[in-house]
Amino acid sequence: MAGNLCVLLIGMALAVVVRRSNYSIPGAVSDIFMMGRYHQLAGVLASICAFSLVNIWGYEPCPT
Amino acid sequence: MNGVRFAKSVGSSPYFKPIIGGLGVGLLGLLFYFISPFWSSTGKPEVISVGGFLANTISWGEKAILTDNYLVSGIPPILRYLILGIVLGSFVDSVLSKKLTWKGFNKQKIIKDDLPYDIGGGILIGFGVLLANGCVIKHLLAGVPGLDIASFVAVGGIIIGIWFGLKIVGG
Repeated sequence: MAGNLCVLLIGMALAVVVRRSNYSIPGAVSDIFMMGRYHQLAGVLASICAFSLVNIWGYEPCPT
Repeated sequence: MNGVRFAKSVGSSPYFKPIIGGLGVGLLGLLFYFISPFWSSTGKPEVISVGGFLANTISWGEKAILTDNYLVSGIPPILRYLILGIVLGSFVDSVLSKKLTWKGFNKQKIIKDDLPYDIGGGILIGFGVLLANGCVIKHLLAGVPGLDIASFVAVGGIIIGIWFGLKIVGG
């Protein structure tokens, strides 16, 4: 139950962060193609770098 | 005081906003990965994903409707808590920021309203999620940092898809 509540809170935080920052992964690609703007791409790279920290503790690749 | 003013100006800058947003999403994905063993049925860490969870929920709903006693024996994900949190968080944030309003459809270049685009695009996204075994969040946020070759291929496909979409529909 506590785990589900944590996931719910992460979902809520995710929504707030995305809403407030106008961050969009597909938007980053279309921004480059349409306007030559790279601001969103910097956000995507920041996102990838932040998640890459998982490799410090050991990462099990996602089952794709 | 100057530090606070500087932090505020950085936070509202169109240049830094996406970077702060990206960092936030990445760190939340990291947090999700570490707490997922506490709730996942397998006891193993799961990567953050929206499309995959939605597919699980729809699959559960289909079984609940079509299979006898599934409601009793199955474990209902009920719009997995992450998706529920995203919807709830958006609602709460829009209420708090006084931006909650009904919005109509925008004008598009080819067809008058964007309703057909929403329907068509939604169907294509849903199909793509099942075809690529994950959404853009899972592949780009978790797959690429984990050097998953399948995710690199999927992200390449997404970029090509966006490029084709822009050529066909326009900006």
